[in-house]
This record gives sequence, C-alpha cells and structure tokens, in this order.
Amino acid sequence: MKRLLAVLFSAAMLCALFTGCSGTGGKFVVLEENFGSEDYAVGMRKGDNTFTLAFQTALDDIIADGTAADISKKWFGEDKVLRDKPFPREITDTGDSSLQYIKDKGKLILGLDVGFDPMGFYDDKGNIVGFDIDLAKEVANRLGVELVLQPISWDAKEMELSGKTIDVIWNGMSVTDKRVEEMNISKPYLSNRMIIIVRDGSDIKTKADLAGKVVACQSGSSALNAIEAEPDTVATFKELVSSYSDNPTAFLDLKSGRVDALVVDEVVGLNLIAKNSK
Amino acid sequence: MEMLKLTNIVKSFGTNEVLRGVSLAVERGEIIAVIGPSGSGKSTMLRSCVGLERISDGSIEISGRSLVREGVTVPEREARSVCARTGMVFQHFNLFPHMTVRENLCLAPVLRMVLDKREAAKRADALLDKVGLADKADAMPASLSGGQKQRVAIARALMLSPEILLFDEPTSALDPELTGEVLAVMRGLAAEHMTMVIVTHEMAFARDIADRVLFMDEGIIAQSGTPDEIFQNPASERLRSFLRSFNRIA
Amino acid sequence: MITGVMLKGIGFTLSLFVVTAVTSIPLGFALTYLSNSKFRAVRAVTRAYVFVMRGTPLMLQLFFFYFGLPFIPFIGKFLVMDRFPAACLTFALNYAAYFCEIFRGGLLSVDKGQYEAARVLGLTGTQTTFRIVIPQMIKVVMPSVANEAITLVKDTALASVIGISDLLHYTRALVNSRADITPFFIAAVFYLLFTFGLTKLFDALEKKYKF
Repeated sequence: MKRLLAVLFSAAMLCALFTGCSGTGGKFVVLEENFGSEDYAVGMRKGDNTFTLAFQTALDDIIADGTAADISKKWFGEDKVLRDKPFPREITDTGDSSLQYIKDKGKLILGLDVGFDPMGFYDDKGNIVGFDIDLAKEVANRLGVELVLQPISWDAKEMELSGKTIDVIWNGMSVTDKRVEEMNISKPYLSNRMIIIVRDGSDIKTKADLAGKVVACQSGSSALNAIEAEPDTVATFKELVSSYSDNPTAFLDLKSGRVDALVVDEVVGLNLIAKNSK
Repeated sequence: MEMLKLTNIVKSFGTNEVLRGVSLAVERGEIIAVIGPSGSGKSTMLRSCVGLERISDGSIEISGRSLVREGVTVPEREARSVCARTGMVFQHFNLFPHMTVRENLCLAPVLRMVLDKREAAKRADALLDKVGLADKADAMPASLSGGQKQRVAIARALMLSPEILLFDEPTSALDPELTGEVLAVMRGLAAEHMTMVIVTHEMAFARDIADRVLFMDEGIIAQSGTPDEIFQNPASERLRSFLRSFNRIA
Repeated sequence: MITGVMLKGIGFTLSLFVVTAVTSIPLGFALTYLSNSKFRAVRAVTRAYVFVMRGTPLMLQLFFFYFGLPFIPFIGKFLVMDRFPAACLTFALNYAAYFCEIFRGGLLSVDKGQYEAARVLGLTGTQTTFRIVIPQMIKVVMPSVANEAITLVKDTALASVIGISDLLHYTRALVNSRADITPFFIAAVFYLLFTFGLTKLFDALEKKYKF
C-alpha cells in the first residue's frame, strides 16, 4: 500500500513537472504604452555619507569613461545607463568614518536577492553574475577593496544593512520615497519602465483595452505601485491579481490564459519573454 | 540478631495515618505472612523496609544497621548500602520490558560490580533453572505469562543473594491457575530457610508456609501468632470477619 | 546543469539538519530533566522557555538571533554571529523545546514500578535514567521524533531569510532568473529523497528498539 502510494505520488509529480515546463507556449508582445518608469539605484547605510560620496565618485568615473556603457551593451545590447541624475536625497560630506570602515575591512559586501536576471543571478555554474555585479566589481576595484557577494533575503535587506552584515544593496533596487528616507541612495544609474505584456494575437493593443480584462502583477512589487498610481485605469479592469509571490508564476498564468496581461519591470519582463522563446 | 526490626513505625499521607505504630522483629530464616484487608497498611510497611516509602516516625534496622532512626532516614548512599542485601518482589513484577530475561537478571549485579558479566550470566542461568525457566533466558518479558514473569522477578531478586526477601502480594495480579507455579517457587525458597516477609491474600498458602502470621488492620498489627493461633483462634471480631470473607470466596 | 547549481545549496541544508539534530536532541533531554526539577524556579524557567520557543515563529527567532542580538545594549557586540552559526543556534534552541515536550511525554509513559524495581535492585539515579528509563522512553518517543526530523528537513529552508544559501535559496533564485519552475520540482524531489532516507532510518531504529 505504501509502495503503491509512493509510485502514484511520484507519477503525479512528474505529470505536474511536464505541464509546468511545456504549457501552451506561444509568443508575447509588449504594448507601446506603459505604467510609467522608475529608477534603479544602490542602497547604503543611512548616515554613511563619506562612503556614499566616494562610492558615487567611483561609479561616476565608470560611467564617464565608457566602462558602464560597455557593460550595458553586454547585458542589454544597448547603452541604457543613466547619466547626470541627482541624488534622490542630497548627501553632504559629514566626515564620518564610513569610508575608512570599508577600507579597513578591505571588503565591500554586496547584498543581493539573487535571481534577478540580468541584474544579479546564478549562471549555469552557480556563479553570481549580472549587470549589477559587473558594475559592482568595477566600483570595488576603484575603491581598492575586494567585492564580496552575499545572498540575502530581500525582506531582510534593511536589517542586513543596519546590522552591518552587508554594506550595499545592489540588485536592481527601485528608488522609492520610503527607501530614500531609510537609506542613503546613490544617483539612479538605470531607468526601468513598467511594461505591459500580453499574449501575441491578444485584442489588447493599448492601456484602454485593459478594460474588462484580468491584469496580473507580483505582490508588493513596484509594478503594483505603478498600477495603483492610476486608479482610474484600475477601475476599468475586470480584476487585478496581485497575489503572486514572484513574476515567473504570474507569467505562467499569463501563458496559460488565466490572466490577460502582466505588468512587470521592463528588465524582468523582457527576460521572461526571452527565456520563454528559448 | 534480627534480620529486620521495625520499631513503632508511623507513616501518614497528609492527615491519613496509614501506619500507626508498627513494631516487628524478623529472625533469620523466619517466614512471616502478613494478611489483612486492603488499606490496612501491609504494603506500605513492606515498602518502607526498602526505602520506597519514607516513614514519618519510628526506626527500621536491617541486619543490625539502621535505615531509619527515629523518623530520620539515613543519607541516600548509606540507605543504598543498608538495603543492598534486601530483595523485593512486586505485585506487578516490574520486569524491565526492553531487556531479555537474562539481561533483567544480570543488570543490577553487573552495574553494582557484585559480579562480573560471566559470573552473572552463569548465576542467572542457574537461578532460571531453579525457577523452572531455563529455556526462557533469551525471551523478552512481553512473551511470558504472568506466572513466568513473577518467577523471573523472584530469580532477579535472588541474583544479589539477599538475606531477606520481601513479597508484596506476589500472586494478586495472576490468573488463579498461574498462582501455583509462583507459590511452588516460594515453597522451594522456604525449604532453603530463606528469610521472607510475604504480604498475601493466599490464606491456605500463608497457613501452610509461615512460621508466624500477622493480621494488620487500620495501620497496626492487630494480632500476630502461629498460623494455628491466627486461623483456629482468631481473637477479634475483625479478624474473624476478615477470615470469613475469604472462606466465602474459597 | 540546473541540478548542479542547486547541489551547491544542499551542503548547507544537510549540515544545518545534522547540526540541529545532533545538538537539539541532547538539549531537549536536558530541558526535560530541568522541567521535572525539584526546584520550582527551574521548572518555571524551563516552562517559560518552551512556551516562548514553541509559541513564536521560527523565522522571527532567526531574525532575533542574527539581527536582534547585536542590538542589545552593552553585551550586543559580543553576540555578533555569522549566518550559519546563528542559524544552527536558533534551530537547536527551537527544536530542543519541541523535543523537550516529546521527551516529557515519553518520561511520563515509563511506569512508576520501573523506578521502584531499579531502586530496590540498588541502581543509582544515573544508572536508572540511562539503563531503564531512556531505553523505554526512546521506544515511545520514536514516532514523534521521526516526525520532528522530517519537519526539520523542510524547516531548514527558513534559514534563507538570514541569507543562508541553502537549497531553497538556489531554487528560488533559479526560478526567478530563468522564468522556469523546474527547479521547484527538482527541490521537491530532493526533499522527498531526504525524507525517504530518514523514514527508512527511523523504521530501522524503531525495529531496533522494539520490545
């Protein structure tokens, strides 16, 4: 009996595995219109002004001498790097010891929630790679310290930072008012639109066509914030499903037809489409 | 010298006095049967002699050494040593269920370093033979009948060569047809002049085997004497009615 | 290939499991004895400990031991732990509380007559505990311990909240970056295999302690 159950269970798991992998397939298109854009920047401990300024100088150099553009072309096929953006909150040199702390340690610990392709994720060998990682390596180089990559839980990033278990959060982090308040934020280095993805052949061509449709996004995401910033549009939806813990599962539901459109970071969304067409 | 001497022992559970001044002297080789209605304090008296109950007052001596002096129990280590040559057989056998019969017998002598493993095993086999269970040495207790378990328990008590054996209703938990085999083993011990105190409801057995019978009632020894004195000439109405209740059943 | 990456996380999962199992079981025993102490204060403290450890989420405890301790005034700076030791400590302390309760039940199941027989045979308290009580208790608690062990296998996944790169961390990272949920199934198969091995182990142990 036990054996029989085990066999049945394994069979069920395998079936689930295959449905999970194959699905209906198909192609996807990105609408012209979007839900605005947001900026990516690097988070540092609040009050670590000396370090923040030194960090920014290094990053500015990398952008100015074209290194950043090369890295961008490597990961995005084009130069998407932002230039001459101001600090979201003005950082003044307070002469604190934060830069010395990093230099004494000889290490810059970068906290990231690995799994954000192409910003920071595992390659086929299990190494952490990505656009942010390449940029960070350059910054560490110029600061003369070793770069240490520390996977963290995204929910615990503020605690990791204040507990000094990491020095920077650098993982395609969107600039929000709350974060600007709680951390030192670098100048934005990348802009990210909130794109709308639909199945190829869908009758949705514009934002207005979303009326009466089921729209999906990741829970607690900046995409959700962006959508909710347009309450009049939301009011026309049949339903806004925002309970997905991650974008791939939301994408899976778009694939299977349970939802009609997915609102997602451009960086993530293009990657989802690219991975699906493989 | 007395093997066991109780002087005016008192035991109370809260306000309830279970033993209200019991005195008793047991000579070497003597066999004492203790009878009486349930709740009369028989078991409590017996258990006090091996330190399973702490008495409130009085003294207990075993082979001339004090276990309790005027209500004060000697320190744990000394109590252990005083009780070292006392064996006890329980109503519910209390065999160790996770050990074979032989392991049950050998555990204490080996742990107490009285015998080494080989000697203990040899002695265990001899004692099992004596109680008629030579073939059960490797059996687990759960596979034995009640009568067999109690015979193993007796053999286990004998492993430490006790100078006195205490029996707390050894046949009360047995089916009637199984009491005979246990009583036979005890008769065998009597024939070897083992000193024994037996709390029992087996009147015929008590009458047959005991040198002295004690009738306990409400925490005191109400009457003591030879089996003939107790069973032929019960002095009190309480004893008469107690014995009558047994005759009715028997 | 994906499996290769995921295997990197199995090391942490396995070591967290082993360290927790090896430390929390003896600790649970110790707590059981403390909870039966003669001293009322010791009993009360033990009861309170078990209540708190069982009454709060393991995830909160992980946060507390890793992030919280260093913020305690004065002594905090001596309580800074690396991720893995912090996870081990939290798991050991948490599981010890559960084991304490399981063993307490096991202890109650050992008949009073066993203690009396041991005493009359002249065994010391320690001998009685280790030769008479614990072997009988093991038989009673084995199914519950097996249950806890299997729960522990899956609970190790919680350690990723304090940045331990365990199996589930790699799984989620791969799912997110590859937009493919296959790693979830590979992880499930691994956890099932692990659990299967444990079940077999406990079956064997149960046979050994059968009497």
